[in-house]
Amino acid sequence: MRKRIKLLVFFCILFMLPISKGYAEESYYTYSLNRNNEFIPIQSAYIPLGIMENELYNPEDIAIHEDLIYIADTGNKRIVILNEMGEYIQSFGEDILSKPVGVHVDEDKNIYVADYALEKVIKFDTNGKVIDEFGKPDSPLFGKTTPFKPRKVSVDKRKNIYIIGEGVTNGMIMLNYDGDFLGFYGVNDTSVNWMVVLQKILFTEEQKRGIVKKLPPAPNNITIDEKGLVYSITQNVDTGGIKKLNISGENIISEEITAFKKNVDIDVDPYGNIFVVTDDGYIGVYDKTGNLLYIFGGSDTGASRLGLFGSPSGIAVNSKGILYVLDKETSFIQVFGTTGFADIVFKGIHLYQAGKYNESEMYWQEVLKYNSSFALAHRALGKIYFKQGNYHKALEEYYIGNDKTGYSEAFWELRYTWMKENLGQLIGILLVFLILMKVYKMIFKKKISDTIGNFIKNFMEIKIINEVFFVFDFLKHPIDSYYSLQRENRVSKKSATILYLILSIEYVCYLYFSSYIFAPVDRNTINVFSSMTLIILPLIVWVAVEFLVSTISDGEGKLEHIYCGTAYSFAPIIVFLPFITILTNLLTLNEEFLLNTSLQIVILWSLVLVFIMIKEIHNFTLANTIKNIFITLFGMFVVFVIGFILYVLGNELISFIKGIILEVKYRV
Amino acid sequence: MSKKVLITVIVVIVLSSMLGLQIFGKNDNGVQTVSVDMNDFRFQSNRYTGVEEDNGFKQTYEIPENFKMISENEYLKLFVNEDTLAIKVVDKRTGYVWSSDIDDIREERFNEMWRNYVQGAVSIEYHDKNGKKGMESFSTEYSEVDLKTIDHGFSADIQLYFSDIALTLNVWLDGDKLNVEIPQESLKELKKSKIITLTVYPFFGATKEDSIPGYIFIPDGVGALIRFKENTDVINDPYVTKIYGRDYSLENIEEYESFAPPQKTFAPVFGMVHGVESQGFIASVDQGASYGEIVAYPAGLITDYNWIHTKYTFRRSYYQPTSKYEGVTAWQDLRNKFTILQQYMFLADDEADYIGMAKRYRQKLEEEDVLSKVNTKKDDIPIRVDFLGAESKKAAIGKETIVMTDLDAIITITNDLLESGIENLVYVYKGWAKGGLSETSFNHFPIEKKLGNNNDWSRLTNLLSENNIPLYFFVDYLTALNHKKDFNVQKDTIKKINKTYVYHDYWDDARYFINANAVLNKIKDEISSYTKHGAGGLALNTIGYTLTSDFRDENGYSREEAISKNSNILDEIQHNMKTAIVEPYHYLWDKTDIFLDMPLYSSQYIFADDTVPFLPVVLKGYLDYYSDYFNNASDKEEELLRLIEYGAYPSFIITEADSYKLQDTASRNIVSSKYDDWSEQIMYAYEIVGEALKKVQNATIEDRIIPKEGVVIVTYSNGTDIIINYTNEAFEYKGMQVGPRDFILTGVN
Repeated sequence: MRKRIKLLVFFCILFMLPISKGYAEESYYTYSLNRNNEFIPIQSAYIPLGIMENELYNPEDIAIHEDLIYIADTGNKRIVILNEMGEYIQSFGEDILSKPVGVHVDEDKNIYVADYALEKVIKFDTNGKVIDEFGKPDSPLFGKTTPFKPRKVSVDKRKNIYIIGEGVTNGMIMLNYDGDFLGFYGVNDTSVNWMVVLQKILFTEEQKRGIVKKLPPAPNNITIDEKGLVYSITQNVDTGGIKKLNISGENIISEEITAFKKNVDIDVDPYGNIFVVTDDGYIGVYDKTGNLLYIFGGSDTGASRLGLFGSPSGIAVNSKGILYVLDKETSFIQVFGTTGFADIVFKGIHLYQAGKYNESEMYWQEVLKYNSSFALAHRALGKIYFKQGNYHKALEEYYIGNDKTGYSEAFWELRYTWMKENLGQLIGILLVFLILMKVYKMIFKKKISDTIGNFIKNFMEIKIINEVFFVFDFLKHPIDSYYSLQRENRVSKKSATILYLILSIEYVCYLYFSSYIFAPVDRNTINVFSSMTLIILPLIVWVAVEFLVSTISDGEGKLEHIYCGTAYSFAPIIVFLPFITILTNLLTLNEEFLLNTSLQIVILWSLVLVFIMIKEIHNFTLANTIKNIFITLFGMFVVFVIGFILYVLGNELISFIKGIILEVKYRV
Repeated sequence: MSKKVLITVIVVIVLSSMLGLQIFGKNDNGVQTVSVDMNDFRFQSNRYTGVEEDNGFKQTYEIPENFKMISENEYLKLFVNEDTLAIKVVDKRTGYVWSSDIDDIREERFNEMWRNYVQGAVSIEYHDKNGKKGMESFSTEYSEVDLKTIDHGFSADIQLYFSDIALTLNVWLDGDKLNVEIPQESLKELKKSKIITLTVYPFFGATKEDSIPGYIFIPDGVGALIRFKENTDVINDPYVTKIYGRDYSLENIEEYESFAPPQKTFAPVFGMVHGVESQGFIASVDQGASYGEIVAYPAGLITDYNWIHTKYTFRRSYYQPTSKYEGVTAWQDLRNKFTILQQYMFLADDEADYIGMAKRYRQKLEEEDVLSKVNTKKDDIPIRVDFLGAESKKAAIGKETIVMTDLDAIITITNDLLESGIENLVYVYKGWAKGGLSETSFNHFPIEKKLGNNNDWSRLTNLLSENNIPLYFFVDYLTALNHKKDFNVQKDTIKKINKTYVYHDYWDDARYFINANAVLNKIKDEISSYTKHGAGGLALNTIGYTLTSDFRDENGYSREEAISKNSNILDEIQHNMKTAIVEPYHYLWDKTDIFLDMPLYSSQYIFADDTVPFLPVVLKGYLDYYSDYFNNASDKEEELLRLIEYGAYPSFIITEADSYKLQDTASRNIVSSKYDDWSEQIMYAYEIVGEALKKVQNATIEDRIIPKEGVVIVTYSNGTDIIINYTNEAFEYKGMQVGPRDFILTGVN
């Protein structure tokens, strides 16, 4: 789900960018992620170096081994070998192959070709002589009905062969060196949505059998790196679009990787950086832990410019970092090289991932000189400073890089140091203060009660103040308090209104002044009015509906009582929320439970008070109270639905009138 | 003793290597740097200019008998075929014959329609009286023509048979130029037919595949070439560029697509070379350019020929909304009224290449008083620094103004720059108006108070005038923010042909385009306020690169008229202060003191083979031009070399505050601008670029040679050669070494 939001954001941002010049020397913009995981334009990371035309026809796959380029030239039914400059070296397989759609080269320069039409994987030697052929495995484990339509092929260090077959949902087909079926590898999960869950709960066994069983999405392409880790891509999934699988088929990078839905090919460079290309021509570059570094490229809709694509079918990177992207529509290869900027980013990443934090520091700083919004650099620097023990700077970098875990760790260290240094003094000061208070009280006992006490007394006697402060009584003896609220006019509409106001202000303060670690929303996105409305609007509806419902069900309370009672029921939140807000600024993620528990207690407490309020004010039985509350909640739901419909209809009306004016303008 | 020396050496090496990294991130053990082999590949790409092989061409040709000589002068002879009005022009300096048609066309694979199109002088698309679309090319088989000789040429009154459209075609020689004209008033639409487009001599100079060595020059960004090659199936679309971009009153405004827009066309020119340094021509569209688009077809796309021409649009279809969700496609009822005038200037021998084209165009502009020589007295090159003053950001309540660079900061930075020895500075101040850059609308005053008080302003003005630093206020008078309500949507904005208004989405709002008359009045109102605040000039965005007609009933104007309207606006400003225009089209080159954001690249079309510095050759020595922000460069070292090669002065966008503060603002595209991060790099760029360009400040570019891929020799009029080496290997030139990614100067007095 999060990914979908991200992609949405991607297109929104493209749309929202003001006419921006710069970065336009290429045919595409290059994007990276900022601290909020939004796409931001950055300097070009790759520039197009040109195109290679080699009389290919609808080529489907590309592989690179020792900087030689191997192409499955599908339309011409052959395999073509080019050098890194795109010069033709040799081709073979013209008489053998029928529809070669996948190609892979192993360490001994044997070439594996997945032929879709022949339903075989064919192994060639360097000279194009057939060494071996692998047809459909006859093992019963493979399944008689399972189709064998190989699309892509890859081979690991132990010469095990991984085949992506069309319609095989169990994962990749894994064969050993001799072609014996070893099993399926790296199966995807079926996504579980609420429909499925609902069906599981509600349907009878018979009905369940009637539903078409949801099959896991099949992986679309594969590559294997030098260490034998398998990378797979799967189209049209919300999570795990790109996976890096260990030997037991577990994904070792985040499922939440920011990936497009239409990835068609993947490759990995010797440093573990991941390169993918999508159906619509976007190229994504990730570091080895799955952080998105850049996205660039795009679809060529009549622009005829270098760097845009018709329909890419393959991507490969050579040992020098040159990117080759195969395009089956235009039938040529586009070549990309890194820019100075990308070189620095990669250098920083490689040193950082090798654990050479201090050495990588200056690269990251240089990256930030290029682009101060590059979130990954801030996070890396945060970690580097953390390792160096420079927690203040680490805190700052983590904040800019929006890394809450890192921030929390740095904060913990700072808090620890501060406490170590100041705890003794703090306790000392506290003790001295207490002693002084005691002494002071003993000596000036009378005077205090005279001056300050009098002042407080007078202050509390102001009616409205008195009414507002009555809120504290609800914490101690709620039932009595509701009684005096209703029967003794202890509070007024005015004081309740003030409490509502305090509540919403406290809420906004909670949003705004919570520490960065626990901030419920990004501080920069807070809008005071909408946040206050969010609190007040449901309360108003609640009071109104509750009044109507209770009138029908013979409740004793009047509108005023419900209005005031509701306000005072939030006493726990009103009293404790400021303390919780302060607390967030003292805690780290380690103590998160403290915060969560206290928040939950306060909210639960308030809800209990609301319940008691309904019961006491209307003098209901327990059952009646519950019934009343449910009906009220339902009533609120109906009110919101009606409100929404009215809003939509109102908009329609306005646009209808506008349309008429437009039409009149045009026709007359 | 020796130990000390050793330690010193080591320390120096370590320090200097670190310094090297901080400036450039240059790393010796770089892992991802491009290999030497791939560098060759890189420099072969159309991001650079390729090596020119010995591509001369001499012709043996007899003019067919059906061509009659009409006129002759010192340079040229003009022949015409009275049946088709096809022309042949003989360049007497080389004896070369340029043709508008193809001899023996029946041997080529053309159908009849194409044959007529190629051979006939004029072709049109039209709607007949029933609204049916048709195409007709002139041929005497059906159409009538009345051919008269005029001074140095001929005049043909043509009446097209099928379309019932009449027009006059005038063709005459003028020195080394051939003029082709279709006067506006001669075009008559009889019997309710309606003309849509027109082309004249589309195949002039066309070549078959690679039968003749040479290239087409296209005015794409800084300039680009399409070399004549064998048929290729790589290309699916021709080169098409609308001169002066889209007319937003007739066409949709560009949406922000996922890929970058192609480079702009700054001057309406195109050219051809038949045999490098043998013969060529450059054509300029002198009238009608605002309704023209330059179209080039490389061989293999539709035909076997390479051809380039200008296509003129008299009527355009547009979307007419009839309700909120529905609409119809309608056609312009009244045609755009303009005269067509194309000038072909012929180039001979050494001048027949893209450099010669640029020099010939430069000469033309000089004759027309558009360009005049600059004469800088300053020793050092100028460097442009843009400051972003304030920007606006959504806040908890309403919007807050973030101060990025206040006046105090500019004073501090100026002192710092002066102290480090940079003497020739040009400042542009962005986001100085109330609310900051993205909140600036039609009213540019008052000034944002958070930037400083009057005292600060006078301190800044004094400092700048003492040091001769012009301060340009960055403005955009052509667009205004919807929510500001400081203009009248009904009266002041530009009305489209479909009776809606021209605007584009901007951040969380929209910017409306303002009518030129309203702009002129507003500028007259505000001009005194600028001089009061010590503005040396205005840096104008948008006006340079947009040209929009206005279809309102009163005060409306055509696109041709918009040119003079915009010029008047600039004149008004120039009476009072200097002007700096962002990406100005050629008709504003005499209205601007400096050219901002000069492109350094072409669009890198798949069919293009080279990027060539056409604009620099035209402008160097006549109009100072500054590149786009160096901050955006993805390869700083190479960018500096390109600045040197093109004679462009560097620009920086600078803020005092950290640029990540701009993340949630409309200026989020500024990703690195903090002065502390950039001060060293400004110094460095100033030194490097200055070292090369200060020797040629008042000189013009006269020649340019590519001795090897990735190496360029630029020759200036004062005898200075600059040799730029983009490659990672040293280059030997006349016994001198040009280091890898370095340059040298020779012939310096």
